[in-house]
Amino acid sequence: MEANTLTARELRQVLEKPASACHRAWEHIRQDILYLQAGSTSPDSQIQGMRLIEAGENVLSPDDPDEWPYQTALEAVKDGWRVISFPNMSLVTVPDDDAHGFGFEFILERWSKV
Amino acid sequence: MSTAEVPETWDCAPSLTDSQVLEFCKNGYLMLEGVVPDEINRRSMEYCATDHPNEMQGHHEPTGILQEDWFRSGVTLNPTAAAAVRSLLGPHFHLPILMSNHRQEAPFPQLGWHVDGNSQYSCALNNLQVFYLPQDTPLEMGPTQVLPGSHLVHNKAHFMAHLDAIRGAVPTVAPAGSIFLTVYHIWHRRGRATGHGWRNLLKYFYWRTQPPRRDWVMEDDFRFSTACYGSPMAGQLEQFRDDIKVAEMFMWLCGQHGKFQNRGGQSWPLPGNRNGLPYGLPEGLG
Repeated sequence: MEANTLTARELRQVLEKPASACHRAWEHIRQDILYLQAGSTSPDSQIQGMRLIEAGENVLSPDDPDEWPYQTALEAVKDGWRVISFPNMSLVTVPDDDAHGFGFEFILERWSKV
Repeated sequence: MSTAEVPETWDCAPSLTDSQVLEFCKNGYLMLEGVVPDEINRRSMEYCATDHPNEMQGHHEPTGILQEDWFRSGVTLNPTAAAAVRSLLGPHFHLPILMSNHRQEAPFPQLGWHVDGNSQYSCALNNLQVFYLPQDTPLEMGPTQVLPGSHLVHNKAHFMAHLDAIRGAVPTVAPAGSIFLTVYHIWHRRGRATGHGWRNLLKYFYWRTQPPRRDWVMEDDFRFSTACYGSPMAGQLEQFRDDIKVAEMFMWLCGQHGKFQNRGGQSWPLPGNRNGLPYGLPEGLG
């Protein structure tokens, strides 16, 4: 550059190299998603329901809760999952007589290689 | 095919007791195992496997089966099932007008949790959704899963689509000839089938035509004051909200909804070891 010999083509090649390397790395990584419906807003409350998606594929969850991989959201965090959505606190405004669905849902993610 | 005129309504003696009606209010469903005779099950299976050109939806809506004398006497007017329906819907309940068949060849995957369309969420019980299993339906044949008590928790099908395994869910495993009754808005889904062969599950509907009243089999020792109103869905609701919802539904069925009250705190219908009749117990109920 100091010698004023760097061409636009060479500069483009330098800039593109890390990006394409990064892109290649991401080609082999997928997001796993874990829905955990808890009994309260606390991350250590017992899980009432779950769904697991790995690399875009549904994973069959055992019907028996004792066989679920985690019993609380905290257990999943300890195992490397990251919480990306917490229970929606606005649901506190829903009257008790009109309780809706599973109100205390944690959504977690992790990245895994395929 | 029947040549006689098909009645629109039906009446018979009720069979359920206070405790059984209350259990229905808690769970939202009632299983009657093996109440249909084998011969009727066999004919039903045969009907379901046969092409009926006049059926609008082919095998999925075999409504013509409702016109068959043998089916009417064995299934829709089955003495055990009809007496249970009579207990919950009162006299002269309206008979089914449409037959659905969740007919599917196993193996098949489970489907998503949902409440059926046109649900009317309230404590009132003005209709019943009923399922008839004409064949043995073990776990391998993907019986419907229900979530006991979920009729107490308002939900919408499109907001349930991401749910999968749920604690407390029950597969309705049952022998051939079983009939189960549900509150229409109970959460349910098709279970996964790992077996092989066709599975039939007939679904139909009854309606109330008369105002509710406590005209089922009354128990001498039943007490509104000390009855337990707790539901399996307690974990999904604010504490004691299930007791309140179940008591309200039971009172509605008794024709006493106008008297239902919740005075808050430790009052009826919450459980507890009180020093007498619970405060808040509606007048005239022991």
